[in-house]
Amino acid sequence: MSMKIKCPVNSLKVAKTQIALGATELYLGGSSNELANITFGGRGKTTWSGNNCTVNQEELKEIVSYAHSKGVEVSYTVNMPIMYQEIVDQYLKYVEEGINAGVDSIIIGSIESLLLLNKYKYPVKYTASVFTECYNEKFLKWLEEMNVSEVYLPHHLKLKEIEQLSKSTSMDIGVFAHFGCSNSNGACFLYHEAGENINVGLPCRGSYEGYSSSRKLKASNYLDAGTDCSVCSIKQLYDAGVKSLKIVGRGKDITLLGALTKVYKMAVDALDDNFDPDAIKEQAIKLMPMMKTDNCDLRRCKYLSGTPILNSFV
Amino acid sequence: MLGEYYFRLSDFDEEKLDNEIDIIAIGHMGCCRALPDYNEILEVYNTCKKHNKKLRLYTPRVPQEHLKFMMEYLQAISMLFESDFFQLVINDIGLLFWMKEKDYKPKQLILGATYSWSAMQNSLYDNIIRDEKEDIKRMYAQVNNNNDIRLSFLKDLNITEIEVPNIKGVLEQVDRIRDNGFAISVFKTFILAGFSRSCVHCKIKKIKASNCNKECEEVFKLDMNQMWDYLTGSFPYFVDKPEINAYYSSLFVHGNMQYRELKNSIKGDEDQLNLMKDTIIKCSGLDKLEKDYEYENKMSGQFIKSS
Repeated sequence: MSMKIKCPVNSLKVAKTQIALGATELYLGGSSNELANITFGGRGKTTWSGNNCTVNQEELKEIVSYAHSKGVEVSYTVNMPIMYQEIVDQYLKYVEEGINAGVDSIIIGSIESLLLLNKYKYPVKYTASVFTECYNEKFLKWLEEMNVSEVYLPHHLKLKEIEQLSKSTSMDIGVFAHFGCSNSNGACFLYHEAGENINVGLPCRGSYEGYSSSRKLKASNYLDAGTDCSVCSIKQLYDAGVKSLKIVGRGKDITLLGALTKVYKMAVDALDDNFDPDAIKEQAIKLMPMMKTDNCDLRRCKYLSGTPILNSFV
Repeated sequence: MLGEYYFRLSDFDEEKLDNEIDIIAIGHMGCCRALPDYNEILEVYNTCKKHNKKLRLYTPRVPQEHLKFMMEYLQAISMLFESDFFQLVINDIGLLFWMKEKDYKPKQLILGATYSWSAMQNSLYDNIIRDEKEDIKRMYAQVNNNNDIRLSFLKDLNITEIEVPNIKGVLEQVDRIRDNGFAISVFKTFILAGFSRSCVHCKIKKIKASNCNKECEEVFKLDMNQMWDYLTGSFPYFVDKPEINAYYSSLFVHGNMQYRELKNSIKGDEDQLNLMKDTIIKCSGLDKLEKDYEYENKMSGQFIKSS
């Protein structure tokens, strides 16, 4: 019994740490000389503070080689939310750089990229990114026709929906294990980590003053619909057919990312050993005390029916 | 053509129909619970037809839970699909596949704004492209559908018209959309800022979305007053950064849909459209709130009550 834990990396050093802590698959993006701050990989080249979100070609090869030596697969992000017609050649060159480096799969982020890459039939697995916004089985079926073998579902699908989608396909289903967006990823224009050089935090989680035509509302986090933690629901996700858990944060500090990898590895390993959510939660909080204050106490649990924000889901 | 989008169906009044308006739009882009029912659609459709106007029905993105409902909903109104007086806006590609399977081909099938967007809709646009070459900057302004691969896919799904953001830099680059025979629609004064599964109105009113009674008919305006910054604060991580607030203000919330007021500096020109074929949609719900809000500001807040 097992689920993959797909972890972000932005250097060989981070890759080694993630694998040591329990990552069973890595994902990463490359950079390109044609672009300054934007990339072909769905994130800016660096964070606002200068942390790398990408690796160069040499490092990509080293990471792939190291990961394979440890039996860990590497997924390469080619999920630019729009694949512009003007740069198809550069985009394909970027894709091929990853494939030539030996990556095992590519993460694709738009309808036009899927249509394009399906024609090329590269000898790697195709993964549909959350940017493709697969909300229902009709779209899922099309992804299958596009030779996609793995799909990451939107943050806001309910457990029962995930189960239905999983049962309707032979593709592997993945979900986001930790942290979550408030908006649907494919068409959110409250950007962050897209190559900007200022710190805007997470705009959807900010405090907003509200007005109707007749009254002023007290300031609140009106747009915040994030659910952040799935430690306690790993067993339900597994039973629903989820094969892969993704941890986000290509530009985030390895101290945080590594702790998350360790927590989810511990939870996934417990699937083989009478998974007890209370015991898992206790252990997780021991490993990462902030989980209690930032997740448990706020009931920001993903996929669990008691999570308050789920009441507002349309 | 000119259209008027009624967020609140009760605002639609046959007696006050504007002769200049060619299209009456109703429906919701993000929530199937907020859609008008079959009888309401027929009533508005018949009124439109009587006055030689078209009815444009907005439909939402469809999570798996609501897929069956939406298929039945569209099936129920499918007799309107062949009418010259009916336009259907789809915001879910899965539904388009299903319609193709069923051989439903509305004469006027429009791809909605949730699938037709430009990076220029994001308020950090200028910052993000600050160091890019001029040709990359121009490319990055385009709407995602100005792409032959994508347009061929949409044509195969029987799309006839595409909503695009009403931004000058976007409308300068819709040549492929036009060359492929699609018409264009824009919202006059607003662009999509995002959409969520979570309904802000249900949150504010503390009701379950499953018990919703079209709570979003009243639109809210949101202005950021504190940024969320995990690095510099402590829970709830709100910090005062007035310079950031401006990027995330003048947002208008219609249930789970978020719109942003278009700045005059980027707004498209009417002459970029061919009004014989293309459409400009006014949103009375948003325009009205903006006017009310300005009015309240002028009155020094004396009519504003804190909740």
